[in-house]
Amino acid sequence: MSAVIVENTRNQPLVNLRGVTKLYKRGSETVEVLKRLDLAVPRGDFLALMGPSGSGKTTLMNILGGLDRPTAGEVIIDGQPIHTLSDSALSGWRARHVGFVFQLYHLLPVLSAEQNVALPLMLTNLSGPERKKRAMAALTLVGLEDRAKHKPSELSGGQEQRVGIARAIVTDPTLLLCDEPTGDLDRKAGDEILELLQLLNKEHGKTIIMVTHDPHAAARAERTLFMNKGVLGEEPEA
Amino acid sequence: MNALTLIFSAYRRRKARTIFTFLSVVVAFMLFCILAAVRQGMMGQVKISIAERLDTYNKISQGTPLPLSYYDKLTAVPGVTAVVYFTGYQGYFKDEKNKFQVAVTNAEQLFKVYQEFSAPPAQTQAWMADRQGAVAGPLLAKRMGWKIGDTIPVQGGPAQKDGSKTWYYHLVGIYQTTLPTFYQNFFVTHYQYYNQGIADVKNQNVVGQYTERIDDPRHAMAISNTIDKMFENATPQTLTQSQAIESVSFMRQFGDVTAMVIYVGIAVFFSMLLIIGNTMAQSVRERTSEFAMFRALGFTRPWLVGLVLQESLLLICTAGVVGLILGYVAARLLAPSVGNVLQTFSMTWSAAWLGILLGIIFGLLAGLVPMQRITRLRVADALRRA
Repeated sequence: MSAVIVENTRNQPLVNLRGVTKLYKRGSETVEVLKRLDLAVPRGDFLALMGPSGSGKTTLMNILGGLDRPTAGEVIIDGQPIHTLSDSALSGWRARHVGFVFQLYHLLPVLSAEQNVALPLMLTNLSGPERKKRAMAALTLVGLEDRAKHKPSELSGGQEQRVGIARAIVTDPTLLLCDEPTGDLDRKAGDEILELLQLLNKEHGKTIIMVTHDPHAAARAERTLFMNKGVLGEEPEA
Repeated sequence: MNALTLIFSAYRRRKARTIFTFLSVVVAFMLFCILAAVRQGMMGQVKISIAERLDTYNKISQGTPLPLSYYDKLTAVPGVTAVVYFTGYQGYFKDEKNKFQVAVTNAEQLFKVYQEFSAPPAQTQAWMADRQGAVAGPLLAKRMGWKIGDTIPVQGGPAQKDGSKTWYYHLVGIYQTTLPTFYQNFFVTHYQYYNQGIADVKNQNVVGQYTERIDDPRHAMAISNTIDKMFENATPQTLTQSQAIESVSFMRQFGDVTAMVIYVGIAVFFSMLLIIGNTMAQSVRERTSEFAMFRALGFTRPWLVGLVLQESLLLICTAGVVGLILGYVAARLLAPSVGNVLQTFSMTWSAAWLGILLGIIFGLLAGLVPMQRITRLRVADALRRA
């Protein structure tokens, strides 16, 4: 019986959006950024979200990561309706279930790579040595174990983003949300990052949703959805 | 990796700004210490001058001597429990730079009238037994390198009958006192030795002032009147008043200095608040995207607010403690130069605690503006602005 339940849970999509609408007020005008959006992302998927600027991609990402709330609709991640959580509960949920990879890395310049990676572990009950061990394991996974003591200014852009990815996976989250992860990198470094994301998806089973403008980057994903004027589609708008 | 690592990383981000802010707080606290010492110099004088003691001077002026013969009459006044008289001179030890005040008194009555002073019984006995004996204040003995048993040649005194101006004393004790620095620098000697040795006849059998200890401070006015009435028809006449009233009159000469000290202190701390508040606001503004990143990682708003408040508090309190220590040292260094006017000029523990309390309050206040910025932070927007 319990095996059946596990199987059923596995078959459920990890990310489930139902009728998500997001309205913004700009002066007296109300802008509908997301329009009754439905989305299901299976566990272990690698989804690329493409679309022109202002189409609502980032808003969607923020809602998926619990950084923003929908005006209407339901956001259910791994069976948890996160749109109903309080601000503090949502913070706790983010710490446990989501890893963010930012376009501009957002590393603390005065901390070493290892210290940057260990930041999310401050919210856990792990001991100092255990945190260090986990941070080093994450850095090893992204191939930067020999750069652990380096500060961000001593790393290349690609290496900085690898540190950003190590920080995102150090708590072993279910979902990785990547906002233009290669947007600030040259092609070679960008390819390395995309290979790393593919590795995390295929070898480590991470579910990844990646916002990108770059079709080359989107091609690394298992599937691509296009966003236009707050609506998701399988094909880019002509 | 803990919150302290993050706090220090924030300080390291703009080292020059952190150092200048730190120094401005240090200076503010040093000023606070000096002002507190001035206030203590003013107020402490009143506290030390207890109402149980009366001072009797020559009515013409405080510098004009009184005859020694008044002593017996004063001790006979009802309500007077002990009488001590003083005269003295400024002498020096070996070098004119080593000046100090030689107090000449009837030693056997001194500790009865001034109960804030004491010496071990054996030393007191030795002093009473030796008319050439002297006791020194602990600071004076330390400064001059004297030990009990030393013979101290004090130069620069009044001429003796043999023409010498060097007076020899046996150091028989080091007195202790709970009073501030100024009171720890006296050299106290026997009147009998001085009176028999001094050459100038005019200065024999006279004293500079009498101090009476009385049984009840409520009788101070009546006893003062009795004393002055007793010498009304004598030459010279006397002027007697309680030390407490004397100190208050002395204080009044300066106007309301205490209030001024408090106002200047408030102004100093207010300036410090503006400096720290501005520094913290700038620091948080520069790190807006970092705070957004922290929020994205799962750190709550209260956690980040706590971090900023700790950052502000740690800076103010550390700099405050350094400022208090330096202020204490500065007050000690300044004490000898202002000691003649403000004998109780010193930094007190109560002022130090008040300084620490003010540091905590101002540290919290300085964190208020940046705290608001964090509570209003829109994570999604801030991440985009980086």
